[in-house]
Amino acid sequence: MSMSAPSHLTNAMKAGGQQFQVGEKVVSLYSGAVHYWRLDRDKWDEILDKVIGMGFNAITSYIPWEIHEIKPGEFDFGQIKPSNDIDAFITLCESKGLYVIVRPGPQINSELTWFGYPRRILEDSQLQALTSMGSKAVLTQVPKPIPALCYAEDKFFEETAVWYDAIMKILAKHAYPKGNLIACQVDNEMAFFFHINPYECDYHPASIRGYREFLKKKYGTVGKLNDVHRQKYASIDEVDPPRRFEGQKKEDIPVYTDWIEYREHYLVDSLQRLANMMRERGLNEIPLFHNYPHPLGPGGSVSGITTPFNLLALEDKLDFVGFDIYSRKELYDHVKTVVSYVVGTSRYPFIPEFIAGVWPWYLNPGGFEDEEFVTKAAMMHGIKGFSRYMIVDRQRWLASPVSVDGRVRKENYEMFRRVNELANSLKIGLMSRRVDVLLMANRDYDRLEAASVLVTFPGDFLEPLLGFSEYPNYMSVSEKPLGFKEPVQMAKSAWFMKNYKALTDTGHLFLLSDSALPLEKLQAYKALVVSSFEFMGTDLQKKLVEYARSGGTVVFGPRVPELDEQMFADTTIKDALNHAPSTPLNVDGVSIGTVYTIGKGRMIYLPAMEDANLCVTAALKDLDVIKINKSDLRLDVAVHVSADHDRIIVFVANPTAEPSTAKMQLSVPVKSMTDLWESKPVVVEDSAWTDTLPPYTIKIYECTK
Amino acid sequence: MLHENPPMLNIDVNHWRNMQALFLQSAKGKRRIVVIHEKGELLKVVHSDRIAIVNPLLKVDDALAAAKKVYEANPGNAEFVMVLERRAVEKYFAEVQDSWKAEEDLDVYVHRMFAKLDDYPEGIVTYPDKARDTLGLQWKVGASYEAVDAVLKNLVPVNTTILLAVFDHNQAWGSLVLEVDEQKKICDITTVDPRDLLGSGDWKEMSKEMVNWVNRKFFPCSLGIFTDLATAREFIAASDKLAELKKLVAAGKVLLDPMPSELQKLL
Repeated sequence: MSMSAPSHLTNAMKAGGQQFQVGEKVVSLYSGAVHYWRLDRDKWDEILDKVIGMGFNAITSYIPWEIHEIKPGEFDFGQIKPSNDIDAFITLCESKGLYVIVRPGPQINSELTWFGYPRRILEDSQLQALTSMGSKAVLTQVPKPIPALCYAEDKFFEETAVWYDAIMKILAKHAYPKGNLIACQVDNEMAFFFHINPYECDYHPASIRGYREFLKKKYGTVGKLNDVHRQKYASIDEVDPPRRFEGQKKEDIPVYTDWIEYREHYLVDSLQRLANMMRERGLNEIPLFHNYPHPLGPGGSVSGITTPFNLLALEDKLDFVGFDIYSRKELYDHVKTVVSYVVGTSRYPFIPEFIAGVWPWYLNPGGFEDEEFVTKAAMMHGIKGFSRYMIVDRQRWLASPVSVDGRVRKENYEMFRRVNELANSLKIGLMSRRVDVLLMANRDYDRLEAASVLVTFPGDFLEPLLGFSEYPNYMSVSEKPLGFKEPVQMAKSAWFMKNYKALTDTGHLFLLSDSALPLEKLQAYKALVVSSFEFMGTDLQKKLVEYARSGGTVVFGPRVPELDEQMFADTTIKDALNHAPSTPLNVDGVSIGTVYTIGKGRMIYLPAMEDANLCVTAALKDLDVIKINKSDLRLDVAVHVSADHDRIIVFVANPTAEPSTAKMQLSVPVKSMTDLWESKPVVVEDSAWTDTLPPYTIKIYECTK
Repeated sequence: MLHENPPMLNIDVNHWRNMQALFLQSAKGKRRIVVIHEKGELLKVVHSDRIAIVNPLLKVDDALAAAKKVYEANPGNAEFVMVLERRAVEKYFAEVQDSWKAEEDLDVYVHRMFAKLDDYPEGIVTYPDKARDTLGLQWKVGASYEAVDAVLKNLVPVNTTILLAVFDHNQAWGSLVLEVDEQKKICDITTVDPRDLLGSGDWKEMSKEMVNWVNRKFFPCSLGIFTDLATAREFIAASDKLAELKKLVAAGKVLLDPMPSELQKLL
C-alpha cells in the first residue's frame, strides 16, 4: 500500500492520526441507527430527539432498494408512503444538527425479506452466484432464505446503476458541505453473503473470468503461472479454479492459495466498482467506507480478521473500512481482537454496526449490561467512532433503547447516555493507544488455513447445520503436513494464540495487524511478534529484515523460513541471520532462543515457546516498552495518551465471571488516578494501585503524571 | 407456515431468550466428536473442545458403525459423534441449495434441508441419534414438523392469534404471540410486552390480562396456552402430546383459554 495519500481520499481523512474531519473540525462520530421507512413519519421528530438525548451526534440509516422500488426504474421516495421520504428524513436530521451517514447498498440485509434487493434481482438466475458444485449458493436467513448474487457479473452492476441513479440524486444534495451527509457506506458486510467457506462460492462464469484476469495480472504469462502452480495449462483462459482441497504436498499449495487470494480481490474489486459508481453520481467529496462482518457465532475465529477480508487492500479504494461487532460480554477477546486489529490497521477505526439490541434469531441475547461492557471494551482498545445498531427498534429487531413507538427502555437508554457522555468527556476519540508492540496475523498462513478446509457448506443465520464455524479452523481443516514438520494450517493458530495470550498475561500492551501492513507503519512499533514457519512470503521476509535493520525487534518462530509463499527457495531471513552476530537468549541458564543483531535492531528467534510467558518476557525485556505488572493475569489493560502526552487514561478489564482484587503497576509514571465511572479517587503509590473489579467490568481511570 | 414479512416488533428480550432456551437446542453448543473421511480414508478425528480422544478407527467402512465405535470409545466425553464423507456433504448441500424457490416459506426450505439428511445414510451420520434429529438448530417441541403444521391447519382459525405464556413462581417467564393469517401462515411472531401489563395476581389472572392485551393489539386470541415452567418442560418431553395435554388440563396445570372449538372437541 502506498504511503502517500491515495488520490481517492476525501477531506474527511486529511486530519490523519486516525481522525475523522468534517470541514476543518476533527469529530468523534457516535452515531445511532434509525430506519426512517420503518417508523411512522409522525414519530421521526420525537425519536430523533430521544437519540440526541443519549448523546449521539449522528444518525446512520440504510436506504432499501427493496422498499423504494415500485418497479424497475420507478421508485417511491415518499410520494406513496410518507415514511419513504428519505430526503425529508435527512433534512430533519440536519435541522437538528445531526450528522448523517447513509448505507444505500445495494445489499443491506437489515432483516428485510429479500436482503435489501428487489425480489426480481434474487430470482434472476443470471445474477445468482454458484457453488463449486454448480448449484445456487443459498443463505438460510429469516424470514426467507436467499441466493447469493454474483458481484462479478456486469448485469448486476447495470441493475444497481438504475437504483444508484435514483438515490444518489437525493443524497448528493445533502453531501457535506451542502448538507450534513458526511459519509456513505458501500454495500454491506461483503463476505459472499456469509458463504465464507472458500469452496462454497463464487463459481459463476463471470467470477471465473475474474479469477483468470487475476491470474493474468499476477503472473503475466501462462508459463510463469505453470511454474508456480506446477501445472501444464495451455492458456490462462482455460484455468478452472480449485473446487475442493486435495493438496498433498507443499508444491500443491499455490493453486489453492491463489483462489483464496482471488476471493479477497473479488470483494475489493466489486466494492471499488460500486464506490466509483457512487462517486460518479455526486458522492465524490464525502468518505466512502465499508463494514466487513463480524465472525458469526461464539468465539469468532483466531484470524477471521484476514482472509477473505483484506482491509488494507480495500482502504486503497475506499476511505476507511471497519468490522461490525455483535458480541456478548463473554466474548471480550473477540471484541479485543477485532478492535485491536482495526486500530492497528485502519485509517479510521470505526465500528459501522455496534451492538444495540439484536435480531430475533440471535441465540441467547444479552442485555444492556453486555452492551455497556463491550462498549467500554471497544473504547479501551482504541475505537474512534461507532454506529450503534439499532438505536431505535424496528421490524425484526429487539431490545434497542428506543421502541418503534418512541417509548424508552430506561436502563438501556441511560446506559447509552452515560457511555456517550463518558466518551465525549474523555475525548477518547482524540487520544491514541500507547502501545509499543504489534502482534501480526500472517496472511499467507491464514490463506493456507482457508484453502485447506475439508468440508464445503453454506452460510446459515440460524445455525450452520454441521456445527462448524463458517471460518475454517481446527475442526474443519486438513491435518496433512504437506511436507512441513507439522501442518502449518493448524499450527499457525496455536502460535498466534500463544503469543496473544503471553503478551496479555505478561502485561505487554499490544495492537494487531497483518503481514500486509507497510514497513513505514511497522516502524511505529518497537517490537513485532509474528509466527514463522517453513515458508513465509517474500515481501514479508524483506520487510521484517528491513524493519530490524532500521532499529526494530522482531520476535518470531517456531521456524526460520526457507521458502516463499509460492514454495520456491527464499532465504532472505535465513541469510540475514547467518550473517548476523548472535547470542543465545537464556533464562535461568537455559537457552530458549537466539538473538540476532541485524543493523540497528534485532531478530529474536524462539523455536519452542514451551513457556510462552517466559519467552515473551525474555524477548522484550531489554526494550523500553510500555507494560503493566498485574497480580491477576486474567485482567487486561490498555493505556491511552493525548497528543501532547499530558493526559493518560487507563482501562482495566475483568473479562471473567469472577470478581478480582488486584494490584497493578504501570511502567510509565503516574501520580494520581480517578475512577471516572464512579467519580472517585484511587490511591496510587509508585505508579501502582489496587482495586476490585466485579465480573465483566471495565474500570476507567484518568491519571496525572 | 412462516409469512414472508412478519413484523416481529416489540419483542421482550427476557421472554424471548427464555423461550429460545425452552424450545431450541443447538448442536453447535454440544460437546461432539467429528470424523471426516473421503471414501473411507480417515482425514480427521477431532473433539469440539480440542480435548484428547480415543480414536479406534483406521478407516471408515460403515459410517454408522464407525460413529458408534467412536462414541463408545469415549464415554462421557461427547454428546454425539458426527461422521462426514466429503463428497456426500458436497452433493447434499448442492441438492439442498438448488431446490430453493423464492415463493417457498423458510420453514419448508429448512424442513427439507433436515429431511434430506435421511437420503445420506452413509454420507452424513450421527450417533446415537439420527442426523436429522441431532444437527443444526433443533426445536424441542417434541413433535414433528408435520404434526405442528397439522395443528396449525386443523385447529387454529384463520385471522386469529395463538398466545403461549410460561410462568415461573407466578412471574411471567416467557411468552410467544403467533398471529395466523387467512392463509394459515404465521404472519407475526413476538412476545407479550411486559411494559403494557400490570402483571398482578396469580398466573391465571395474568393470563386474562395477556389475552385482553393480545385482543387489543393483534387478531383476536383463539388459543391461549398458559402454564408454569416445570409443566412446560414436562409437556415438551411427553411423546403422546394429546394425552399429556388432557392430563395437564384436567389437573389444572395447563390453562387453555380461549380454546378453538376443534381443540375442544379433541379434548
